[in-house]
Amino acid sequence: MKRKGFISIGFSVLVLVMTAMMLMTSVSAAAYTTYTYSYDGYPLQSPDAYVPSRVVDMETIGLTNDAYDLRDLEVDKEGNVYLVDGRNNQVIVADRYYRLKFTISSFINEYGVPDSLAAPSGVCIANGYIYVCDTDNNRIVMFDTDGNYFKIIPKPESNYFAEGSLYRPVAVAVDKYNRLFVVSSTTYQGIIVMDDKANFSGFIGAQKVSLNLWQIIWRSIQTEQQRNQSEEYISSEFNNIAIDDEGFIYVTTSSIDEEKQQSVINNRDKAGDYAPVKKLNSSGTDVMNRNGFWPPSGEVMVANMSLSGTPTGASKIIDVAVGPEGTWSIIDEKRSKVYTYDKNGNMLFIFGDFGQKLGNIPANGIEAITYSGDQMMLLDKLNSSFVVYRRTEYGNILVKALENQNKRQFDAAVVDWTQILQRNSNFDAAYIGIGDALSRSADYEEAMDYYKSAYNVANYSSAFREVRKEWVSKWIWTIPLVVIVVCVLLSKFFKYANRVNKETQLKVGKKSFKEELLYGFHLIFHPFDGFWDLKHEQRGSVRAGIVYVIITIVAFFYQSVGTGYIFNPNGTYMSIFGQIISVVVPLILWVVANWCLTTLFDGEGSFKDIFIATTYSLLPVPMLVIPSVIFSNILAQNEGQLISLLVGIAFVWAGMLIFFGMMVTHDYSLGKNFITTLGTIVAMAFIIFVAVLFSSLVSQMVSFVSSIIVELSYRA
Amino acid sequence: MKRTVRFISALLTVLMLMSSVVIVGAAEPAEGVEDYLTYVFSSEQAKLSSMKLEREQNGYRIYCDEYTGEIAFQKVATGQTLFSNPYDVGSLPIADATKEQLLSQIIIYYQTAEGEEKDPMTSYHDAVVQGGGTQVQVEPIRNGIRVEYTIGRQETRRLIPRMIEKNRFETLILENITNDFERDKAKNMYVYMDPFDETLPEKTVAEMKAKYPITNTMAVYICSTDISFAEEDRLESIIKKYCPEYTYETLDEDHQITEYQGSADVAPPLFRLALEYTIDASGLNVRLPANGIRFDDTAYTLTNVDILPFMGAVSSEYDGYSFIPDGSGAIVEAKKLAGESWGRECDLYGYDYAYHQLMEAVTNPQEETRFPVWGAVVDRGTTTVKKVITPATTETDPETGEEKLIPAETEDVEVEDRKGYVAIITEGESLATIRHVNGGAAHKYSYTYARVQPRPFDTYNLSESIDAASNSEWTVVSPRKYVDSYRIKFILLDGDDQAELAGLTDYYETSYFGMAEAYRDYLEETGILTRLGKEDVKDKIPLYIELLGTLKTTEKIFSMPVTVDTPLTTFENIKTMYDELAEKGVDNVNFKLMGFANGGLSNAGVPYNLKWEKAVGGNSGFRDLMEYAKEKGFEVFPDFDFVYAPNDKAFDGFSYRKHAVKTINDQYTSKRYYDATTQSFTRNFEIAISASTFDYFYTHFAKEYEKYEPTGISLSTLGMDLNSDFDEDEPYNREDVKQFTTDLLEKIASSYDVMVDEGNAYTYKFVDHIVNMKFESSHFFNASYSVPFNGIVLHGFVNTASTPLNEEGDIESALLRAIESGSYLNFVFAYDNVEKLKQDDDLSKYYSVRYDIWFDDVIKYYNQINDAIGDLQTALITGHEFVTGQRVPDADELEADKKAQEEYKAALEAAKKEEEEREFHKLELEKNRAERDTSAMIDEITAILESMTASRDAFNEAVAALAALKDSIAAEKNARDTAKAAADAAQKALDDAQAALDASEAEDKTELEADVAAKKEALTAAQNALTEAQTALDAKAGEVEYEKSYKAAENAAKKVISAAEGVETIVENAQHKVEITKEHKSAAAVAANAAKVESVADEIETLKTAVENGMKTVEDLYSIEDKKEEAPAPDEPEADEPTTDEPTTDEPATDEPTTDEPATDEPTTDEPTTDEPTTDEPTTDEPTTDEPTEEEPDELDTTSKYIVDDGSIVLVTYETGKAFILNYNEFTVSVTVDGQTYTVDAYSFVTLNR
Repeated sequence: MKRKGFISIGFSVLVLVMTAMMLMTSVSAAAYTTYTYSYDGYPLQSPDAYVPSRVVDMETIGLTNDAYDLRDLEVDKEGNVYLVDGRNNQVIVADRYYRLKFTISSFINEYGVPDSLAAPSGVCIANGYIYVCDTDNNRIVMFDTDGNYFKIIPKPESNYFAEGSLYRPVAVAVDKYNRLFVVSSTTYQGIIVMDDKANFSGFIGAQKVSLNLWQIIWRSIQTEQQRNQSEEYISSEFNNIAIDDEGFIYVTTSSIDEEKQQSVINNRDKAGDYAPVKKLNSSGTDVMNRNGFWPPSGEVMVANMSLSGTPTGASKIIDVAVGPEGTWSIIDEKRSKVYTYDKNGNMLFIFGDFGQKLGNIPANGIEAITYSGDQMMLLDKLNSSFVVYRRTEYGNILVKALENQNKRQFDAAVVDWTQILQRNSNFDAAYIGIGDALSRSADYEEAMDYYKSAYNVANYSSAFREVRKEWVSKWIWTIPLVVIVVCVLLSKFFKYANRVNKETQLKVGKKSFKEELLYGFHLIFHPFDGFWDLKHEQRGSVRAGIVYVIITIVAFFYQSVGTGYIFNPNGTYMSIFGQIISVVVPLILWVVANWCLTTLFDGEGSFKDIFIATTYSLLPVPMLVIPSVIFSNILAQNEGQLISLLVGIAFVWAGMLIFFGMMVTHDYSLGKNFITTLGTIVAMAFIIFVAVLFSSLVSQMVSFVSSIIVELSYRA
Repeated sequence: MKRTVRFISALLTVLMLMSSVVIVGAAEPAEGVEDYLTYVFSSEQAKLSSMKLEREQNGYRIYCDEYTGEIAFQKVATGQTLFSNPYDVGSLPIADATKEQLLSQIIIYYQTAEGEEKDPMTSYHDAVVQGGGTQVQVEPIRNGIRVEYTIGRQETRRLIPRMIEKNRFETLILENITNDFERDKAKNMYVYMDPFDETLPEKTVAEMKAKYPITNTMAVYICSTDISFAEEDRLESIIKKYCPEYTYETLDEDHQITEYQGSADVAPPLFRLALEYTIDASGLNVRLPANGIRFDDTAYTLTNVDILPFMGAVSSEYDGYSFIPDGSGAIVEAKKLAGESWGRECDLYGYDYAYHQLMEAVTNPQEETRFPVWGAVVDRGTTTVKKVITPATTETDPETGEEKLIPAETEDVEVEDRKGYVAIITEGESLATIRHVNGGAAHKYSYTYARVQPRPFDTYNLSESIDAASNSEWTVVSPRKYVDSYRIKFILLDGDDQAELAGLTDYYETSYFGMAEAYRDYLEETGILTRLGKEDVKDKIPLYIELLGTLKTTEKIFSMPVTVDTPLTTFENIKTMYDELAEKGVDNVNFKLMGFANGGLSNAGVPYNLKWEKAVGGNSGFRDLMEYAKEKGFEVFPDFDFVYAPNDKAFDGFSYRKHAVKTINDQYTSKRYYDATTQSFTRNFEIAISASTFDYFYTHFAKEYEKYEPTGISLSTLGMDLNSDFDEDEPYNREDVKQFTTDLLEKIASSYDVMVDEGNAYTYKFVDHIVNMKFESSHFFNASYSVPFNGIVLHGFVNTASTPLNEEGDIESALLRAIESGSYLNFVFAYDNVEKLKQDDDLSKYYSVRYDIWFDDVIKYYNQINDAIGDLQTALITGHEFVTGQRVPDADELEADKKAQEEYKAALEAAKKEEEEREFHKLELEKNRAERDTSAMIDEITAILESMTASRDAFNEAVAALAALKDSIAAEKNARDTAKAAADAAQKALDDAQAALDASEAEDKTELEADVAAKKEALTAAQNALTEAQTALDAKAGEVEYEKSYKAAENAAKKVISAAEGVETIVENAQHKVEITKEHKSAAAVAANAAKVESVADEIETLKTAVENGMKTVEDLYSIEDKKEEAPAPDEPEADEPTTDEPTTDEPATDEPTTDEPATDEPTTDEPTTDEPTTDEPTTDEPTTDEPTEEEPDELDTTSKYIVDDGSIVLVTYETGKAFILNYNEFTVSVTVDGQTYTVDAYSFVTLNR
């Protein structure tokens, strides 16, 4: 299985090219394989950043192995582990060697009345207190770190809450100013924020309601009631929350439409709409950097069809944890996997799998994630246990590199990134890291190599611009020289062509091949006159037309393979065969359709005339595409409009030529030509339709017959 | 009396004998059947004695229960027995169906021809019960026995009327069934068709008549058509039970009457097979001849056969474990999993890619099984056995000439009761699965056994190949069935104690290590393994380096993409690498070359022709390398894949049609890999080559290969994959493929050194090196430990190496594991251009292969391992165990412990206080009670007062005595003996007096009066005693020696002190009672009494001080300061002079035998005086008595929590006595081995000599 590029199908419709996109496979039968994604969406194996070190079940902690419903797992700064057990209504606290310290279940509240937790779901340890989401009691209860009752934070009083709405806190985060950020499972207005006095201060982070045009129109004609019923536009609710040292809040949701979530990934959409994880500042603005190859949304390459029960569709993100040096991880309930990103949104590594082996979590068993120093822990609710993962040497280097980068100690970071590359030559972020460092030390050319290895076009482009600037400043005198030379050469050529054309005009009888070819340069500037002569004075010929077609094909092929790195970073290209098809098929279609139609509408042009006129009209395409490709090698990314402009002009020009060429050839009025042109397009579509129909019928028949043969052979 | 006893015992004996006859009689059919499900055998011995000894040979015995087919295999020397089925099935509170399973030796799984899965048939239910003893036949054969089973129903015809006339059915059958329930049951299986029923609509009747023409003339019962086998069984048994008159003749008659023309009954499933048990020198061999499995294969498909599933099953009530061949081997503890239903299947030799459905295709795959071994160990604590001291002999009576038997002299000894076995599949293993099942909720047994598939079959989904088909499964049985035998060898393991007792020196210990030894010996004895000698190894351990050759990359030349061959490592590079390594002292290097020939890494072809890639040096480059290698003495193993064809290139000798493996539906198949991203298996289009054509490729290839005169070859896939072939014309099962593979390996091994990957057990014989071997199990949650079983077996025989270290996530553990399993290091490297690997999705798995970066680490790690096991290359591993250690606590933990200790103490203190408070509360309660009867109280107080007065008198006396003593002492300062004696006596008297007082005061009010009287007497007695003692002492004064008298005086002084204290408590109590009354009774009378009491109390107080003073004087006089501390417990240091004590204590007793209470008499002998205050006044004495009991838990146990016994510390011992303690923890531990304590750092080891 070699990497097969995505072949752009172009105009070719009849030939359906099936690209067998094979999956990268792993050989290891260990508990899981760690991997990342390349720029073009292929998983690349990576050294393990975390390896499982042990499973801690309730017996290890020192409790009996009864039934539990573990819903959350947190670790405080001393390494004490807090487990929320919704079944026995308790919070279990263990020390850093996982030995039971105490449990919190019932307490005497400030009125001296015995009180207890009811189906708690979340816990947060901050500022010396334990905050427990006492879900079924619709409140949050605070305890000190020894488990003594401190106070109750009831449902905040606010008329922002919908009438009769339930308040069911499932997750809570507390910042260093004692502000509370509460996720309530039945509140969809966003995250409830309370100040340090537990007064309601607002909702933040509500999912933006983005309606497309059709929805807006549709809603404008709906009644009020219908609008209220159409719940799919209502923002989704969050399911978990975490807070980092700087006070940014990470929230996750699993209620986004899967297809939308996946299409965001496929489109590399950097906007936060439909993102299953967001980083909010305290006013609720999504400030997440999504500068990685893929927006951080969990799995990138997902199956759409299940083979023997394997997970399909976008990740279901149910918890987030903030790790060292701005890294953060999310967990996918569907796949029992952990996805870890840095603070720029670069994917660092993915690991995890189903199963019964140490380090695996059974399907739908993963429930929470947390970091504790250089360990990571995953809660396995089905086995009522949690798995402790230890950071490996590779993981340590990674963290160190990020630390140096965050501290802006770039020289040290380069050393770390180099070390990472030594351990993992697949790690693109390291290439970028080194590239960045090299850029900063103005070593742009080498930086370009590193950026190129990581397919980082934006940075490559800016480094390239610097290199170009240097080059320009060095060779400034050559630019006017080249421009002058090119202009002189061009004007000489056009003058020559003009002279030949003028001479030919007077010539009677058969024209030479050179004359036929050069006539194109007259035609494209003087279409009305040109097309008339083309037809009536036989200034052109089929052979010249064919040459133009070949030139066009070559131009497109050159565009495909010769476009500069910045504008085609993947190096994908279409084979010459594909190019031929993409040019010849539409051309023939056009000619046939046009001829069929115009013979009915007393067009004067013969099939040959139409062919010649059309092929001569293609000339502007190679004329402009080839320079555009040359430019693409010396332009930076943000200057790309010039290329689009050139190519755009080429197509419009050619289109106009074809249009007027037909008009002149058939001797139509403008209006009639307009109608026949439209008609030709419709006819082309019709021919395609019939062809597709026919081919599908044939393939059906083939498969039917082969099925019969196969079945007969089996049943016999 | 005695006669009766004798009679009863005789009767009991007879009864016992009879019952044993019944057990033997159970072998008779009929009533025996139920028995096996309910009969309780008291022990294994009881079970064994119910079985018949069939054969004894080579020190082993085979017993068999000829009725059920159960066997037992016994080692005569130790008496250890391996049962085919648990002995205590009858006593288990479980369902009968489960019991029937537990009693089976064979379980058969089958399908109908339509592919419908049927319930499995067990040998107990479907042969023993079904046949009533006739379907299990035991026959003797050479060296053992053969048990033939006929599983299923032999009769093909059922005694069930399919259509019967209404009246006949009712009279012949229904009326005879007396049980209502069963009658209904039988009736419900029939459909009643009555055309004369007026209630039926006409249409129904018409339909009925059309369908069953007979209904035109009569009403009939028709047996329901969808009746199942089980229901037929039931119906038939009902008919047979209740209608003995109903015979096959009547049945024919009925069918004649109803003109029933139905087809013959479908033949019920019937399987015939036999198990052969034979004894050889090492143990028991069980053979199932696959060819002898007979059944109707047109009607049924045999899917699986379980052989001896419960052989040696481990009961979860005991300590013990099963060893399963999961990866390198895993230990599953039955006790830990008690009640949990859990099981694993270990398919031998990995996946068979000719099958559509791979095992566990959905979940993350487990480590593969590479050797066919399992076993179990049970530790049932200790047992008492008779140890023979002198063996039994015969002696000839010299007079009568008669021979007399002198019975053996025995003695009961307590020994560990451990047993175990190891099982090795020695034939047919590639078609077997080793299954481990934990009974869980069904029963308490955990068992491991082999399940075999004699008729390979596969299932595929029709919709995959036929568009129009529905999603239906289609099962096809291979035309190539397995016709040889399945053989399993069972070897017994012996507990050390039992072996010692039996005098055995050569035995396998009951552990996984014993199993490994047994397997190792088996492999060595059968010639599969040959021990490495000194000449086979070099000075240093081998280092394995896998090298990546060349790949195709796309380069842009003049912005045009061009495919070029990019070399990652060239032959020249290899020379350089070797030189660099050798310079650092690493000279025993084995290079495995991957992708150096026939298209390189990315475009590899089948090895038919041989063309070395130009980019790496071409043909001449390889020739040079070979010469260089021979000169320098390193080895090169170019890797060739004979099992898969990744590309079909022109003229490569490969044709899909001729050489590719075909699946059951005639498709080609390819190797599948587990893909972490999609969490499923994906294909790589490496087409599997049929094993029958291996030779064709190799023969051609070898001609070209030998030109280069190479020394070695690597055949990575040949060592790990077995793909059967379902080709219609030329099918091969896995055993055939195994044969082809071993034939090829043998051929290659005769010319070259062979290196393979992973190494299935059948390759051991031919290979010299196995790389990429797994030395870990899958680490299942439910498995307790992972053991390097394969390492233990192979070290010293075959050089092994694990997966490449440089791609390992956890290098530290991997290094330890190398020492643990005796394996060597392996790396995968590329010399240059490594960044190109990223461009190829297949090769991107080599993410850390830069040789130059790793060079220093290679040297470092290599030296580390070479230093450890370099001198042990030919030594076997002679011990492997998990040891318990202690984590060395962190500083803050020690702090915390200290704090906890203090807190604990504080808590104890608090508890004590609480206890005191509780006691105080009790007192309070008592006080309250006292309040309730104050009137009585007054009297009591008066009485007490009286006694007080008496005691005061006594005290006066005592004081007087003391004074006298003092005087005498003062007088006889020089002659201390007299004074001491006097003091002694005085004190004695005081004691008694005080005792009396005590008693009186502590008693309940009701007893008070009597007590007071008694105490008065006691007091007088005490007085008498006092005076008498005094006089006696006086008398004795002159006689006793100075030293002795000094001691006596000392004692006396002590006693005086305690007496004084006793007095004090009396006073306190009196005051207390006064308090009570004072508080709660304001009446004048009470007040008066109170005043009286008070005055008495005061008096007592003064008395006390007087006594104290006296005591002090005594003390002063004798200056016994150093003994002061011991005063509260004065008796303890008494041991020095018991003789002098006796006279003093004896005196009151002998002088006042009548007046003294016996209660006071008794303690005088040992604890004369101080006994009373402690027993009588527990509340006041508590602080002193509590102390000794609290001393024990005074220290909090802080060490137990640091114990590490989760298998993360390993002790592995090699033959030379060199041993290693390996610490797999991320913290330092201390371990005690052979009495010596070692501290082992995190991920580190220590070396020791044992």
